[in-house]
Amino acid sequence: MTRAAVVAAVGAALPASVVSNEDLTARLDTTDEWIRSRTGITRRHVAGREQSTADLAMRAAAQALTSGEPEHVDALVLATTTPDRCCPATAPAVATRLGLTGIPAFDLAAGCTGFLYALATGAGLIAAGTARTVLVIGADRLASLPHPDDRTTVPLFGDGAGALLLRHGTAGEPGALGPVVLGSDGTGADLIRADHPGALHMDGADVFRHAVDRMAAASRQAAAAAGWDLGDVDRLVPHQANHRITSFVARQLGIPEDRQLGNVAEVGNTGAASIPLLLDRARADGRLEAGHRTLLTAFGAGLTWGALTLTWPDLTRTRRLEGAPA
Amino acid sequence: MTGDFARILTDDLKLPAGQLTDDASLDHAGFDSLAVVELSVLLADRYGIDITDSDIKDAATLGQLDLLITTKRNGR
Repeated sequence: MTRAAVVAAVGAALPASVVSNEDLTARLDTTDEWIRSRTGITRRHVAGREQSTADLAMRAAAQALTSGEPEHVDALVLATTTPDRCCPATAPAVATRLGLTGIPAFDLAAGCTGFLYALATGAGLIAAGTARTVLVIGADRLASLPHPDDRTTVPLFGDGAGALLLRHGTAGEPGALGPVVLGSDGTGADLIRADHPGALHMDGADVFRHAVDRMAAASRQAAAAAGWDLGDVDRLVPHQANHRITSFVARQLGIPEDRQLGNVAEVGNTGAASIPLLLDRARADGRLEAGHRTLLTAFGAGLTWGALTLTWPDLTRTRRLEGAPA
Repeated sequence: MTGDFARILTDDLKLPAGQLTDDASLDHAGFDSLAVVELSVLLADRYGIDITDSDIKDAATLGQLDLLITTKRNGR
């Protein structure tokens, strides 16, 4: 049987502090209607100064480890655009706080596509035999990127983290990651950029155009590589950038509304955290069930994009026997 | 207004049908900046015609925009 990386557990973490559209209209020249009609966002979680990217990553990862109960974790990949420092990377500190000092741990930056790049990297470590179990985390504090007075970008972003535990398994079993499609285009590097926190620039119209084209194309390629028709897709899990973008992509792909998952209304754009946060949320509220043929797709700064398929696994079966010692 | 254009406005762009008359301005019809881009991408994907964001924004009314699209489609 072909070796594959298989999803064994999921975890998520959101800061406690919630900023509603009403909170923003009190200090910015905008309205709840403007924000909702253009983005679909009604509120977002924002980390205070006391909560770092490492804190959020650690909480999401700890939840995945608690539910997956792996015997060993062999590597940790952290996708983030907002590391806590320029140097060193955030991942080793997260690994140490999880009791995993000594394992390979590194950051990976690919904008809002970071989580899919990290999944591909984790799957590669497993396929090469370098690791049998990899913790893949997406954690971002994107609310720190816009200028605090920029009414067009402040409402878009929230903070959070999500994690998937990948284990060694076989292709074709539930939870096995299908062929990954990834891409980048540096000619669009200036369309989404921030020279430092508080200086985000985004060219909305061009970003929209690239996002829908790239996510639709990558989704088609990933489905075809897995041998799926788009009509086979039970759940589309697009990076939660903006409801208008994700709806447009779904329409381009012919995937009806009841097969699209979304949570942008509650969390905004959480960057590399967006896909695992949505998977965790949808699993918890029953929108995502074992056996669902699931298509993940993302687009972000870089420009970067990607897509991959998996059949969502029954994660309760990866737990140890009831009553077993922790 | 042609049926194809009316369907794009209501089904794809989700604009309120009550305001979609030939002499309505784009603003009055409910176009926002993203709707302009959405329409441009849709027309390229669906009909293979190149109508830029500026072309759309320059149209004074929905009727003018409809005519522009029909002309481009026939001219292919």
